[in-house]
Parts: sequence; C-alpha cells; structure tokens
Amino acid sequence: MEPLSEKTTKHTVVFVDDSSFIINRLDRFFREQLDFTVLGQGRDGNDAIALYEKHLPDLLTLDISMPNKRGNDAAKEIVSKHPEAKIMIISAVRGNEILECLSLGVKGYMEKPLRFEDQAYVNDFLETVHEIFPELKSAKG
Amino acid sequence: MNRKTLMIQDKLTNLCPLFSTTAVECVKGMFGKSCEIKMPWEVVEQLQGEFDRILTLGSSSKRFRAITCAGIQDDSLCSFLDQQNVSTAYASDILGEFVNTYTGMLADNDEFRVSFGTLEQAVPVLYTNGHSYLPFIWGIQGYIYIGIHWVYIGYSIRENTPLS
Repeated sequence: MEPLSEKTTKHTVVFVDDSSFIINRLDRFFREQLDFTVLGQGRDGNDAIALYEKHLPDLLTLDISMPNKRGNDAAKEIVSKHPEAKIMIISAVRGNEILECLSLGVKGYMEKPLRFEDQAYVNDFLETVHEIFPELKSAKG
Repeated sequence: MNRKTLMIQDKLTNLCPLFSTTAVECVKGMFGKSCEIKMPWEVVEQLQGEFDRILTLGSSSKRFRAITCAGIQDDSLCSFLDQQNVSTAYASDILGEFVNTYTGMLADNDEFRVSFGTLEQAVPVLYTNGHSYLPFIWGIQGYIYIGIHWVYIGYSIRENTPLS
C-alpha cells in the first residue's frame, strides 16, 4: 500500500503499521501538528524496508508487532544499511524489544494507544519528534 | 489441580482488578470513550462465550503461553465505532489493534511482569460467527460497557510443559 509520492522542502515521513486505524490517525497528526509530507504507508516489516529504500524519508515510523516481518527486525536491516536512518517506533509493545531497538540506533519511541486527545501525550509525542529533528523545535520557537 | 495450575490461578485472582482497569484505560486511550465495569471480572477454568466476532492474540515467553481475546456482537461494534456497517477487514483492524494495545499495556505493568515476566506478542487472528479456539486453560474474563453495548475480554495463560 503506497498512495503518495512527492518531494518537497517539508520533512517527509513513511508510516508502517498493520492497522489502518492507526495509520489514519498518524497521517492526520503528522500533517496537522507537524506539517510533514507523507510519502507512503506500509503494513509490515517487508513494506518498511521497501518503502524506506524507495523514498529515503526523513522519518520512518514503525510498529513492532506486525505480520511477516516484525518492526524490530525491519529496523535492524534498515539501520545496518542506512545508519543515518531516522526511525521512530510507535507500538504497544514494551520492554526488551524496545530497548533492543533503541540500542540499534532507533531514534525515538512512543507507546500506544495514541492518546491524541490527551495534551500531555501530544506534548510528549511532539517532544520526541523534536528530539529527532531539533530544527523543528527551533523553527517553531 | 497441579501446583503450576494453582500458582497461575492464584496470580490471576490477584491480577483481576488490573485486567479490568487496564481495559477501561485502553478504550479511553484508543477511542476517547468512557466505559465502565458493571460486574467484577472473574477467574475461570476456560474462557467462554460466543460472539459475532472474536479476535485472539497469542503471546509467549520461554515459560508461559497466553491468549488475549476480545469478543463483540456486530450491533455493539457498529455502535462503538459510530458506523452503520463494519466490514470484516475493518473489524479485524480495530479489534486487532485493541487487543494488541491492551496486551501491551498489561505487559507494561510491574504487577503483571512480576507474575508472568515479558511475553512476546504474535499477530492477531479474527474469527467470525462464534468460531474460535479458546483453549482449556485458566484465565480472566469480563465485560466492559459503553452504554448498553459491551465488549468481552478474556486472557488465559498456562506454563509451558517440557513437550509444548
């Protein structure tokens, strides 16, 4: 699944999650709150690798628990080939798998559920993205 | 009943409030909807129930195997999502994400981790028209209500045997 492809001066993102419910919410949040350009959407770890290779997005968001190939395995493959890759894990999975991802070079982690109605959660989410892209924070003042 | 089964039954009994309150938090977090527990959740010898749709998610560690499941009737699902009809694909998507998130939230709780450690989650599977596999092992089950509509939630767990 990969509907969009456009390069602009905005930061770009690809979402990979096996739930379209989650992807739709992320899509809206990144467009409205962060002004990102969405380049593609995938459903499993294999999609993540293919979409990253194709678009080289500024940011790849990855779920962990997905069919065919888990997000942590996809992250490992992507980072080994593209050490500069900026990957953010967004998952209900906690614990060792997340620590393993962060030790691999994954840049950020946010837990599910996506509580976008909760301002503290939104602030935490924005702060995580700003830590990956400090220029966004300074641009916003 | 053997020692391992008694141990699990005891742990589940202690964790009953955690399972129900986590379900309420999960619904609130995912859908922004308030729900309530009308009857205390119970520890049972086998999860039981027939629903239009039931979704199961396996998880495992070296020591334990578990199944989380969510069951719902079609009219409740439509009401819950504020839609006239819900396709099987969308039901699978929503229930799968709900069960996945709920299981993750449980796993993040210290009380749960002390009891069962960390279990790795598999991929959810949706069954329709009551056809589901609910193994004959001890678990916790209960309902959460949003108005008159409800969602059934169950979690059963067993310790691995040398042959499993």
